[in-house]
Amino acid sequence: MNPFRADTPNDKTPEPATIVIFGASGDLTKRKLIPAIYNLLIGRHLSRVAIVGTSRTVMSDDDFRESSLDGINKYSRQRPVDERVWSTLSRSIHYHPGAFDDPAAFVRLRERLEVIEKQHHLPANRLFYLSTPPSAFAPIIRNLGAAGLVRPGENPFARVIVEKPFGTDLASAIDLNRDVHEVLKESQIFRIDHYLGKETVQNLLVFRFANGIFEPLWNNKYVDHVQITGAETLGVERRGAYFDHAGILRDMVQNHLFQVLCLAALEPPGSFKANAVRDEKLKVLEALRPIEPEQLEERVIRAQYLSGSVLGAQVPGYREEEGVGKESQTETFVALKLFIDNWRWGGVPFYLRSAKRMPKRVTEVAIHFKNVPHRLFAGADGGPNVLAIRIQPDEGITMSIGSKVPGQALEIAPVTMEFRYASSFGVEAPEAYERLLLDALAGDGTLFTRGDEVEASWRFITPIHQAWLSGKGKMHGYEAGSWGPDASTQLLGKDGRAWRRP
Amino acid sequence: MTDAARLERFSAGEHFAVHPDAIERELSSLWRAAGKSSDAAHPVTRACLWNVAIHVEERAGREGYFDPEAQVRMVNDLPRYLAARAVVLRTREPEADKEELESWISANCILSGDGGKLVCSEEITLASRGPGDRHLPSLVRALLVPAVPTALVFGGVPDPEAPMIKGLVGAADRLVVRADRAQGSDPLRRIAKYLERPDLSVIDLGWVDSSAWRREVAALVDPPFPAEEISRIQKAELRAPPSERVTARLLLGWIGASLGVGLPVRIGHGAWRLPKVGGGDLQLNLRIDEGEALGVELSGHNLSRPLAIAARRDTETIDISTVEGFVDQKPIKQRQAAAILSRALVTRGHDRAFQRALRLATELS
Repeated sequence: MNPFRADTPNDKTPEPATIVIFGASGDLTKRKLIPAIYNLLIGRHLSRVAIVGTSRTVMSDDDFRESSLDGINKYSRQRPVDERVWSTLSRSIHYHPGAFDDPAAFVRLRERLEVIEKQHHLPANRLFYLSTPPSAFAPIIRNLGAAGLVRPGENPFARVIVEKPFGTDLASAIDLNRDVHEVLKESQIFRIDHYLGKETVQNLLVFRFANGIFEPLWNNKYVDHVQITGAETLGVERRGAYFDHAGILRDMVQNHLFQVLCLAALEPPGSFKANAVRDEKLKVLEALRPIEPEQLEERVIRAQYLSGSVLGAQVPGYREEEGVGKESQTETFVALKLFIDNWRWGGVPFYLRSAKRMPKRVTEVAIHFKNVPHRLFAGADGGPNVLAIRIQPDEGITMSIGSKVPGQALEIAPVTMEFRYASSFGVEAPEAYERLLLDALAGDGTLFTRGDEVEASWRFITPIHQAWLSGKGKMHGYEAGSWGPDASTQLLGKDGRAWRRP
Repeated sequence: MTDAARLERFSAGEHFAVHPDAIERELSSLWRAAGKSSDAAHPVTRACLWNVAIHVEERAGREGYFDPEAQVRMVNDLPRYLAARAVVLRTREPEADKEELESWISANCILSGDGGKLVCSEEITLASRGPGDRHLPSLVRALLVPAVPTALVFGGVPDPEAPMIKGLVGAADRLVVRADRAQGSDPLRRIAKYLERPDLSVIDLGWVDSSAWRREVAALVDPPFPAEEISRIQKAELRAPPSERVTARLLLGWIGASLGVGLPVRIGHGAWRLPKVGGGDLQLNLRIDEGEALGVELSGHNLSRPLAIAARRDTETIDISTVEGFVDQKPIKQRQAAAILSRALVTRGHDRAFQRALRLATELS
């Protein structure tokens, strides 16, 4: 224990380390990872760090530094670049070309790391970031193991961050977990879902468990239903070929929306330690009532966007997008009616929807409370209370309550109480990748998904996807710029409910 | 003047004179006008997470204060970092034909990044002349926004026994002082007196501002420095320019409290000794000299390398000498006074590290 860090429980400054980025020539490194490291340095959250980029692309240290600076200049939340901080950071940036499937390249990487660590007087603490196509995860981890780069232990530590998607179905997720566990202990693996790094997603836990008034209402006695929406205005952009293989169910729901669902629904963990939180998330996923093939039509709606207008621009339909097959059966919209079969949530439907080409970009959780048991004010009704937790953009929380309209008549109108991060705190929230990189360097896995969580989510999702592959489940269409197909409206309408307009 | 024009001038920072008993009423009226202006180019919204009462001492010869206008600038900049109702308490010399007490309301607004809303923090200025300061504690109590915490901020360290100060401190959850800018003798001992109230959390802005320096000191003994060698550190020598004498004592107190136990014994000019956690003694040396950078050197028996850092305010860097022949330089980004104040308020409860440092530092005289 460093005696100078005593009594500073919120000081997360991790031990000095080297961050090795696989896939360093890719977009994520430039857009997110390097700017995140730069911002962590500006915020004084890192003590000493070296960065080693690696990929098949041949480039020099200086080329990688130039690309990194370009990334900071374009994508950092703190601009213009601070020359003094960049000067410190640039000296720590290195590049090492190598193929992911070449064991000899990993031996050379180890030798290079030893030189760099000596040069910067760093311990052999290493964080490997796999920002590569999923097919490279297993070979990289195998080769890291063979080269002696990821020995278990905390002094020095060797940890691996794996980007999504972790598997494409249950079988592939199980295979990948097996491959990974042959080399790494679970405590060394950090499966990243950047949604968990968002302030508002973390605030779901704070909101629920740091306030005494909400948790007593957070159950089937008071909650009528829950809506979770993850909407994008974008189409598939240049990722048509990738997306046409994945679909919104596997690209968004299996990971991001299920993580949000877990945090909204989990039982209070015994502590805020990684496994305590992840145990509770796993219980939620395991309690999801499976959707049998014959229930597909009544509980799952899938659709593709047609041409339309989004934010004032005319956009093509999904099947007209580059890289997308003319007969594609890949969904760009999905709405699900889920049940969590446990004591707390028995009988409460959770409606999830996620889609591309919606009218606005928004991710939110809305808790719809039950109406009052007896309507005292005949003919006047402010509607049920809704607590909406906005994850992005305009992060915040709104609560709608019924209030008397001033005047002689007794009329009730819904009014909202609103908390907005931007208004209340003034300071800009850190990017999700900043928080997650810092946590991984500090060895805190709370905001990362565990292997059994990933398998549990695939266990639920895979049968739906397989049913679609076998031709079950009608593919609906919806106009780009709308909130989805009529069938989605009906999904709630037949229960006497309606989607909230976010 | 129409409501809309009045609101526009208010949100642009103009001060409106208002009688003390009409402050809340006038503010409410302005916010009602803001509610009606929702279709304006920049709708105005009010935000408040803290009550921040800031004492600006304008009377000559009063001990323990520093640059009144710097205090006011800090209030004006605060909403960029933290939404708060600011109550500025200006205490002035008596003047013939002038009221004992005057007050103004204004707003400090920022344009939020999420759609162009003007997010405003209220500023209430109460100016007392001579004995008019007796009204301030009760007025402050009346003007606090309910259900949010209250910080009382001084540009130095006021006398805890002064009646007005006693009255103000009684309304506060957090006391924010600035020992390194304080006049008068031994401001650290004055701060320590405030620690006697257990429900009041006390913090020093110089301490908050030194966080980068402290982190670098902590990083000196991070791996690869062997953990077992920490117990071999026998001496900490802290050097500082005269302008940072008070902060230097506080930081030496922090080092002593981190590595040692018990209270220090003076063994010479600027030198003390105290027992170490694992046995043996730790020597603390304080050297104040013009031209020195705020730095520390940790030395001891059989250390695998010398441990030293130095921070020069003029060059805004921390030079770290971690291994013989290896010197690293890290930039320190100077924080604005308002940013430092917001850091001092962001965590709730007591800063135990500060309390331990202060207790030991008061013995280093």
